[in-house]
Amino acid sequence: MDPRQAQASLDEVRTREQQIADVVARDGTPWWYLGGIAAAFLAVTVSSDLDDLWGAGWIGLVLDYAVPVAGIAGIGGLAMALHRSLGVRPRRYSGRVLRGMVWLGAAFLVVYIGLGTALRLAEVSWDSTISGVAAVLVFLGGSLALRRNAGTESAPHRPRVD
Amino acid sequence: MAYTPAPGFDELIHAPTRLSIVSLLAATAWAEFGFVRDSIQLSDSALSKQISTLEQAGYVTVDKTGAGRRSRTYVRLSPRGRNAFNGHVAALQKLVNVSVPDEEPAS
Repeated sequence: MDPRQAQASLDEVRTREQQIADVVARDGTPWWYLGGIAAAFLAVTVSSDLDDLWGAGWIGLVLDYAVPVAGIAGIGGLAMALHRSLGVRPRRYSGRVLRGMVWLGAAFLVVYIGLGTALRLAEVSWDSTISGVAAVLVFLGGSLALRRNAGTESAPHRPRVD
Repeated sequence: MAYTPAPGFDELIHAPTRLSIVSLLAATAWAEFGFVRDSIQLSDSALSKQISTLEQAGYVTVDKTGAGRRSRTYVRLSPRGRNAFNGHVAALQKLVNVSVPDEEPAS
């Protein structure tokens, strides 16, 4: 064993780490996953507005608690299904993916909370749904941009076919 | 010129194919057998053999779920395997950084 061989081994370790990061960046946001998250979030925002209209009695309880809990559980279930479909669960997300997720999350919250607050102050009805739709459009557009960016930066994944 | 590997150097992990497998698994919480096979570009039997060797050493755990065509096999690095891998990488890094020749150089 000499330093050159050791360096070659370290390069192999980095290559495999990068391989996982590339798979997650490129294939980690399929449309069914993005659509599922968008649908779950919209269900929660619509239920919030419906709660303002028909929030009394058991319907109010369902809209206040059951729908948000089901939405969060659904998003958790989608994450599990995503890892199963990828065939891998990364130990941690790479800096590139993490930065994209943080920016996307921040943009999503700014649009949802900012627009929602403005609409509520202006006493616009269905304020939560309108701001939710806008935030979901930002989420979907941002995810598409991140995926395109990942696709151009990472090497193609070509599983061997025997 | 030969160099003395630093403590932590693991002969079992250092074999090229096993180094690829363990490096891949180290970046994951778990990976499906087929994913590892395609990523490393090995046949089923070759990968099975390497996984068995690592499993016998206590470096990986293998979980099978389902039955028939729906069955899936998940492979994950055990805590022991992760420690061994980290130690091995540290030993390689030390060798690259220091590059001090052994007192008794090999031929």
